[in-house]
Amino acid sequence: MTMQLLSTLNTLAMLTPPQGAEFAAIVPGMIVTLVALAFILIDVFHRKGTPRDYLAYFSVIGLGVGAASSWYLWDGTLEAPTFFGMLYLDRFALFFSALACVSGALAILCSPAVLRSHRMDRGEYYLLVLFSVVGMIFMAASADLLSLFIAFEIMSIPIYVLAGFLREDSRSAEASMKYFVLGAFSAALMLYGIALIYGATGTTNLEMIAQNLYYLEGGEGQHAGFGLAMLGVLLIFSGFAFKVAAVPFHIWTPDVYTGSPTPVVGFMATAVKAIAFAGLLRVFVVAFPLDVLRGGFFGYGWIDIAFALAAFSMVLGNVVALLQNNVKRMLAYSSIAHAGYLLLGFTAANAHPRFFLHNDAILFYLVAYTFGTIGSFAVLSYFSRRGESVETFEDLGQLGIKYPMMGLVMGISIFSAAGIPPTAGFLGKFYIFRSAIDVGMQTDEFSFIGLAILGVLSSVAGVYYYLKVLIYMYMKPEKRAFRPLEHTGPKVAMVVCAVMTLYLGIFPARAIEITQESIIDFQGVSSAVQATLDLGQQALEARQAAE
Amino acid sequence: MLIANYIPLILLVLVAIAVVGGIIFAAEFFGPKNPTREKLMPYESGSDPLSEPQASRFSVKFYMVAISFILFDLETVFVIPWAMSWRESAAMGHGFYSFAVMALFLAILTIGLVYEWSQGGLEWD
Amino acid sequence: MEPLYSDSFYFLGLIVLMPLLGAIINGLFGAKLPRNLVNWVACGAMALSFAFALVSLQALVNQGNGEEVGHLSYTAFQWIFSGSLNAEIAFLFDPLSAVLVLIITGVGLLIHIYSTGYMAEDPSKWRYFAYLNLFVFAMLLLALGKNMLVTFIGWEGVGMASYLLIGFWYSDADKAAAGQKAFIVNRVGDFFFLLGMFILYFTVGTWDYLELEALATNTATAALLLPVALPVGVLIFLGCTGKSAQIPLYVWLPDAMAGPTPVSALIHAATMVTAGVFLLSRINWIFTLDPNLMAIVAVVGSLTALMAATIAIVQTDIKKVLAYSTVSQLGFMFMAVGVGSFTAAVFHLMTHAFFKALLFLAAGSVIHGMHHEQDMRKMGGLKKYMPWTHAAFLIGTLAIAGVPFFAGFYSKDFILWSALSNVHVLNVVGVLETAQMEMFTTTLAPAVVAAEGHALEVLGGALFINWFVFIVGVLTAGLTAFYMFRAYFMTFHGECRADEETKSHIHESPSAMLVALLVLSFLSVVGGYIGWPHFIAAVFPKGLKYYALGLEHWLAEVFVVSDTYRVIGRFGEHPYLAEGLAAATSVIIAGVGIGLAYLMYVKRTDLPGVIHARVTKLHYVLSNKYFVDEGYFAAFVRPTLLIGKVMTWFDKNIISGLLVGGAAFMTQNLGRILRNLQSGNVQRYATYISLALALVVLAIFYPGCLA
Repeated sequence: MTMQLLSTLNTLAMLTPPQGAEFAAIVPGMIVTLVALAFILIDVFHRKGTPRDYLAYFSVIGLGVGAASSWYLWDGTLEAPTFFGMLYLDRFALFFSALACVSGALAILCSPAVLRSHRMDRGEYYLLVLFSVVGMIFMAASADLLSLFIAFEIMSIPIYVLAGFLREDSRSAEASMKYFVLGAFSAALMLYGIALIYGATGTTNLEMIAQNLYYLEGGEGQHAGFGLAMLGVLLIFSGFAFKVAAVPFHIWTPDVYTGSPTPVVGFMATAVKAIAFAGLLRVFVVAFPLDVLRGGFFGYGWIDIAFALAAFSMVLGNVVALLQNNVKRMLAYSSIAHAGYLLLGFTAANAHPRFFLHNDAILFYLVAYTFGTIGSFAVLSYFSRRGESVETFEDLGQLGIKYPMMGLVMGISIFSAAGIPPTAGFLGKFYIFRSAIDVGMQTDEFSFIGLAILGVLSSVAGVYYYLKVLIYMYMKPEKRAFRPLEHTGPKVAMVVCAVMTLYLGIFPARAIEITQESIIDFQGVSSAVQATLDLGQQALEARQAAE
Repeated sequence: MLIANYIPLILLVLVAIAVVGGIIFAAEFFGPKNPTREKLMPYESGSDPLSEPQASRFSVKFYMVAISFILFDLETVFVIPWAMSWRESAAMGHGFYSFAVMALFLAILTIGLVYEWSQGGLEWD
Repeated sequence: MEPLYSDSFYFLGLIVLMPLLGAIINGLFGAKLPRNLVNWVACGAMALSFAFALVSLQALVNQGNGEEVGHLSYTAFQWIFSGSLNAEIAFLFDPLSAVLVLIITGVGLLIHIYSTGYMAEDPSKWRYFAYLNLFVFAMLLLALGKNMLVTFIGWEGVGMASYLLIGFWYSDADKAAAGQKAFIVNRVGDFFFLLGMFILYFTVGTWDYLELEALATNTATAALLLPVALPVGVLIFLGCTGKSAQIPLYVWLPDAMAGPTPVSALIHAATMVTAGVFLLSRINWIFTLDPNLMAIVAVVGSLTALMAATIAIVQTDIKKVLAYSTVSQLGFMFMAVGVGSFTAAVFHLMTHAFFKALLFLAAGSVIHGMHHEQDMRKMGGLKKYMPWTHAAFLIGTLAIAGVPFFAGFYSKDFILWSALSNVHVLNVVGVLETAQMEMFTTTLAPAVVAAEGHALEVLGGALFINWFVFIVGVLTAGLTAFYMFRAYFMTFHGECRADEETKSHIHESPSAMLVALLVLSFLSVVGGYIGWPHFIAAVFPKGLKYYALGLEHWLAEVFVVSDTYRVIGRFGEHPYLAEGLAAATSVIIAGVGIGLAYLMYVKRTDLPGVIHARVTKLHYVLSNKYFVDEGYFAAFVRPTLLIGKVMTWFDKNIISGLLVGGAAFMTQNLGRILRNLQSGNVQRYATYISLALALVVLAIFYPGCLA
C-alpha cells in the first residue's frame, strides 16, 4: 500500500518541474557538459594540420570552471535529493566533482605532446575525457540506482575508447578491447544486481531501498526476498570492486594499464578509482545500512567482503609489483595495493555507524593519491622515443640526472606513493591506518588492527619497488636514449602535482577540514549515522569557533 | 493477484505468435524462391557473420549508418511521447519548462549531427 | 616553573629553517650557482643554525633560577586536526634537546666544512650539499620535536636523506642496493615505532612530551600508562633498533658505509644513529615504568655491543671497522639506558659524536689521500705521509679505547659503573598491591624506596642482569681497545703496503679538512671533562666541583623528576672505593687490549697469521658476520619473493589450466588458443571474475563451504 502511494506521488512529482534551487545540483555537471558541447563546435571548425593545443587548454579551463563551481556551491548544499530523487547536492558530491575535474584537467595537460608523438592529435581525445568527467560528476551525486548506473556508463564508455585511442598500437587496441569486454561484463553484473534489488524492494531510490529493506527484515516469511536483496548487494559490490581494481576483480588492470596511453592511465587510475569509491560509499551507506546486510567482524556481509578484498589487494598488489619489469605494470599492481588501503579505510570507517566520520581518511587518501599518481604518470609520458613512451625500468636509466626537474617530480611522487613524510601520501596512509587501529581498539576487535598491521607491512615491501624507480632514474646506465616531449602542458601538470603533494603533506589542515566537511554533509544516511554526523558537526563548529 | 489481470497480456502474446507465424508461413508457402548467397545470409550490416575474421574485411560504412540510424531512431522514441503529453504539461502551467527541456535535448543532438557531418560520417565514400 | 618564552620562542623555528633554506637553494639552483657559492650557502646555513642554537641555549640558561632551567617551546602551526587526532608542528628546547641540537649543528657545521674539501672535485657537489642540509633539517626536527609525531617525521626524514646520501652518490649496483637495504630495514623499524605511537595515543590521547611526562611521572596517573608501557616500550624500542642499528635490525649500518665518508661521519656515527638513544632518553618515564622493559633494553644493548665488537676484530676495510665499532658503541648507550642511567647514555652519545666523527673524518682523510683505497691491508706506515691525520686518528683511537683523560674514558666508565651499581625502584599508586608489582619488588628491589641512601640487598634476576651487563661491557671495552688499535697500527705503522703508483700520490689533505679534524680532536679530549667520576670529582676544589659533574647537573631536571621510579646506587651514597675499582678495571682492560694489539700488529706481525690458522672456523664465522645477512635473506626476503612468484603465476595461469575446461580443452584447442591468445585471455578473465563472484556469493550464503 505504502509503495503504491509512493509511486503515485512520484508520478505526480514527475510532472512538476524541479524547484529553482534544485538546479544547483546539476551546475558542475552542466558546466562540463556545455564545455564538451562547445568543444565539439570549435573542433568542427578546426583547421586541419594545425596543433590542437588550444583545445586542450580550453578543456582544462572548462574543467577548472567546473571545479570552481563546486567551490562556489560549497555553502549552498541541500538537505533533500533533487530532480525527483535522482541527485544529491551535498559537499560529498561536490568534493568528488571537483576531484574528477582536477584529475581530468591534469590528465589533459599531459596529453597533447603524447598524442602528437603518436600522430594521433585528435580532438575526440579531450572530448572523451570531458564526457567521462561528466559521468563522474553525476555518479558522485546520484541518489538513485538508475542515475547511478547511467552515470557509471557515461564515465566508463569514454574510458574504454580512450584506452584504445592509439589505435595503430596493437597493445592499445588490445587494452581497449579487454577493458571494454570485461567492463561491460561487470556492468552487466551490476545491472543484474540493481534489477534484483528492484525486484526485492520495488524501488531504485537509495533511501527508499533502505526503508523497504528495513520493512522486509521486520516482516516474517519474507526471507526469500531478503536473500534476493543480498545477492543484489553482492553483485553491485562486485561492479564497484571491478572499477577500483580490487583483488580478485583486478585481473584486467595490468594489461590495460600497460597498453593504454600513459596520460589515460593516470586518469583511469585516479579519477575512476576515486569516483568508484564515492559510488561505493553512497550506495552502501545509504541503501544497505542494515546490520544483517552489513555484517562486519566476519558476520558475512558487505563489510566482511570489503575486509577480505582489502587484505588480498594489499598483499597481492604489493608482492606481485615487486617482480615487475615494466614500470606501468608495476604501477598497475601498486594501484591494486592502493585500492586495498582504501578498502581498509572503508572497512574500518563503515564497520559501525559511530565510526562514520573516519571516512574522511578515504577522501584525503584519494586526493593525495590523485596528485602523486598523476605526477608519476606525467613524468612517464613526458619521455618518448620514436612514438614509444617510457615503459621498462631500464628505459628510465639516467633520466633523473639528465633532467633534474623531472627527477625531482618523480622522486616526490614516488615518495608519496610509498608513504614517506613530508609528502601527502604519508599522511594519507597515516590516516587510514589510524582509523583502522582506532576502530580496532574501540571495538576490541583485533582483526582491524591485524589488517592495519598487514597493510603497513605490505607497504614496507612496497618501498622496495618504488625505490627501484629512483635507482634506475639516477644510478643505472642509459640503455636507450629517450627525449623529452617539449611541451608546457605536462610541465604545468607536474609542477601542480609535486607542489600539491608537498603542500598537502606539510600544511594539510585545510584539506583535512574540507574532507571532514564533505563527510559531515553526507546526505541520505540512516538516523544512527546522522547522529554521528551531528556530533561531528558540533565538534567542527566548536573548533572553528575556537580559532 | 488474479489470473484475470493477465488475460490481456496472454491475448497479446497469442495474437503476436499467430501473426508472426502466419506471415512466415505465408511467405514460405506463397513467395517466389530465387535464392542467392546474399539472400541466404542472416542480416548483419552486410557482412558475413560466420566467416573467419581474417578472411573477410567488412566495411565500416554500414556500422556508421546503422549507428546514426539508431541514434535518431531513439530520438524519435523520446520526442513522440513528449509531443503526446506536452498538452497536459502546458495545462499544468509547465509548458515552457517542458519545451525548454526538449529544446535542450534536441540542441545536444544537433551538435552531435554537426559533428558527425564534419567528420564525414554522412558521406558514403 | 613557567617557561620564559611560552610557546613563542621563534629562534627554535629558525634553527630548523636554516638548513631547509640551504637545501632548497642548493637543490633548486645549485647547478647554476658558482661552485664556491654552493659551499657558502651550505656552510652558511649550518653556521646560522648553530648560532641560533647558541642563542637558544643562552636564553635557556638565562631563564634558569639556579635550580632548574625549564624549557623553551615554539609552535609553528597546527598540522592535523581530525576529531580524535590532533597534532601540531611544535618544537621543544630543554637541556636534553639542547645537547643534541648543539651536537647536530656544531658537528654538522664541522663536517660541512670538511666536505668542501672532500667533495671539491665532484661535479654534482650541489646535490650532495642539498641532501646534507636536508638531512640536518630532518635531524633537527627529530631532536626538537615537542610531540612524538614531529619526532617521527624527522625520524622518517633522516632515513630518507640517509638513503639519498648513501645511494645517490655512485652509480654502481652494490651501493644502490646498500642504500635500499638501509631504507627498507629502517622502514621495518619505523613501522614498529608507528604502531607503538598509535597504541600510546589511543591509551592516553596525546603525543605531547610534556603532557605525557606529567602523566607518567605522577604516581596517581601513571597507573593509566602502566599496562601499555611494556607493549609500547617494546614497539618503540624495536623502532630504535632499526634507526640505531641494534640487534635484530643492525644489518644495514655496515652496508651504509658505501656513502661518502663525511656522510658516514655525520649520519652513521654522530647524529642519526643516536636518534634511538635520544628517543629513549626523551621518553625515559615510559621505559622506567616497567623494569622488564629496561632489562630488555640493557640485554639487547650489551649483546649488540659484544657481537659488533667481535665482528670488528676481523674486518679489513677501515670504514667497516668503524661501522661495527659504531654499532658496538651504540650498544653501550643502550646498555646505559637499560640500567637507568640516561645521563650516561647522553654523555656517551656526546663524546661518541666527537671521537667517532673524528675517526671517520680522519679515515676519510686517509681514503682521500690514498685515492679511495679502503683496505687496511694495502695501507701501513702512513704516519710519515700524513702527520696531521695520524695525530687526529690517534687521539680518536685513544678516546674510544677508554684511555684516561680522553673523552671516551669518562662516558664509558660512567656507563660501566652505572651498570654495576644501579637498582631500579618503582612506585606507582594503586599498583603496589597487584601481583605484577609483587613480581617487580621480589626480583628487583626488595627494600623498595625506604632504603634510599643505604646499601641495598639486591637478589635474583636483577643482580644477574647487573653483573651480566657489567661483565659484557668490560669485555667489549677491551675488545674495542684491541680492534681500534689494530686498525691504527695497520694503517699508520709498519711498512707501507700500497703499490708504488699509489704511494707516489699519497698526500696530506687540504686545510678545510684539517680544520675540522683539529676542532674535533680538541673536543675528543676535553669533551669528557664535564663528567668526572664521582670519586675524583670529590677531591676537586669547591668551585670546580659543580662543573666537574656539569652534565649530570644540567640533565638532572630532565631525568630525575619522576615520582614513579628511582634509580638508586646499591652500594650506598658515596661508594668511592667500589667506583674506583670499577674504573680501574676498565682502564686495565683497555691497557690489555692496546698491549695485545701492539704485540700482534707491531712487534710480532706473524702472530695474526698463526692465530688465524688455529681458529679458522671462528674466523670464518666472524668475517661472515655470524651469517645474519644470509639468515635474514633466507627467512624474509626469499619467502617474499617466492610468494610474489606464486602469486604472479596464479595471476597469469590459474584460469587457463585448472579452471577453464581443464586438460582436454587445452589439447583440443591449443593451436587456436595460441593464435588467438589475446581474445582467449579476455574470456578467461571474464570466467575468472565470475568465479571470484561465485566464491564471494558462496561465502556469504553458505559460510560453511569455506571451512
